[in-house]
Amino acid sequence: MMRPSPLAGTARSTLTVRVNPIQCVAHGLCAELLPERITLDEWAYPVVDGSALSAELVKNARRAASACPTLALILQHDR
Amino acid sequence: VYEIENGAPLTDLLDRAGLIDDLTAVLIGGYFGSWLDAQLINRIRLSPRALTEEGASLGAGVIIALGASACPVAETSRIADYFAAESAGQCGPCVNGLGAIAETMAHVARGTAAATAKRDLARWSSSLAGRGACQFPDGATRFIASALQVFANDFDDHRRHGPCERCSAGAILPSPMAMAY
Repeated sequence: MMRPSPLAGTARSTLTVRVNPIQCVAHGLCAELLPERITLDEWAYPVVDGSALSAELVKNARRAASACPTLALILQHDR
Repeated sequence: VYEIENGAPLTDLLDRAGLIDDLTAVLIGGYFGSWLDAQLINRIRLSPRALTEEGASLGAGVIIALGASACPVAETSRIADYFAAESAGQCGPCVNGLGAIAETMAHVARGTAAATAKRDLARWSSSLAGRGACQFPDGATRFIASALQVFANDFDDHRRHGPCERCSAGAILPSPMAMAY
């Protein structure tokens, strides 16, 4: 039997990632840490899949956001 | 400036402006708009619905007719230069993407483009929208993508054979940069 994730129930809305394009200067760490949602274009700028993050992806998404040297990766609640 | 009725045929407007013969294409909606090819020119009506069906919109309300004596590739390439220069330079996808589009289009116009140019232009013109803080790249790439589609034969021809005899004709599409040249 699966145990409920510790995050379950804490977020009613859906979490997605997006990039602040002005802050982003193409370090590319986000694509390393969250390849399920982020790929890089030929100039190493992120191409973001803004679909909802599954519970198991949220942790890596938070890591990716924290790791961004310019804090350009944003987790946001979508209703 | 012409005041026209909603749904009036585009040809009525072109008649009033004295533009009837030998049009290659018409740009609807200014530089963030779309090109209509010769076939569409003759049957489209200027209503939001009719234009939306063709993937166009009146946008800023600016309409520019391109005559048979103008080179669509040279014209588009100049506006691509203008777009690249007008980027505010804040967001990577806009700076890099519009820069690459302008550079590659210039090579296509001269017949010196790499074999990948066509694919690259198609990719860039469909992958920049929504990736800037403002919508400048969205509008710019709408114009570019539309030009690549409507003038596909002209782009292929220039890519293979270089400049055409129309390339040196005076610029039809106005840009502040052209005035500085």
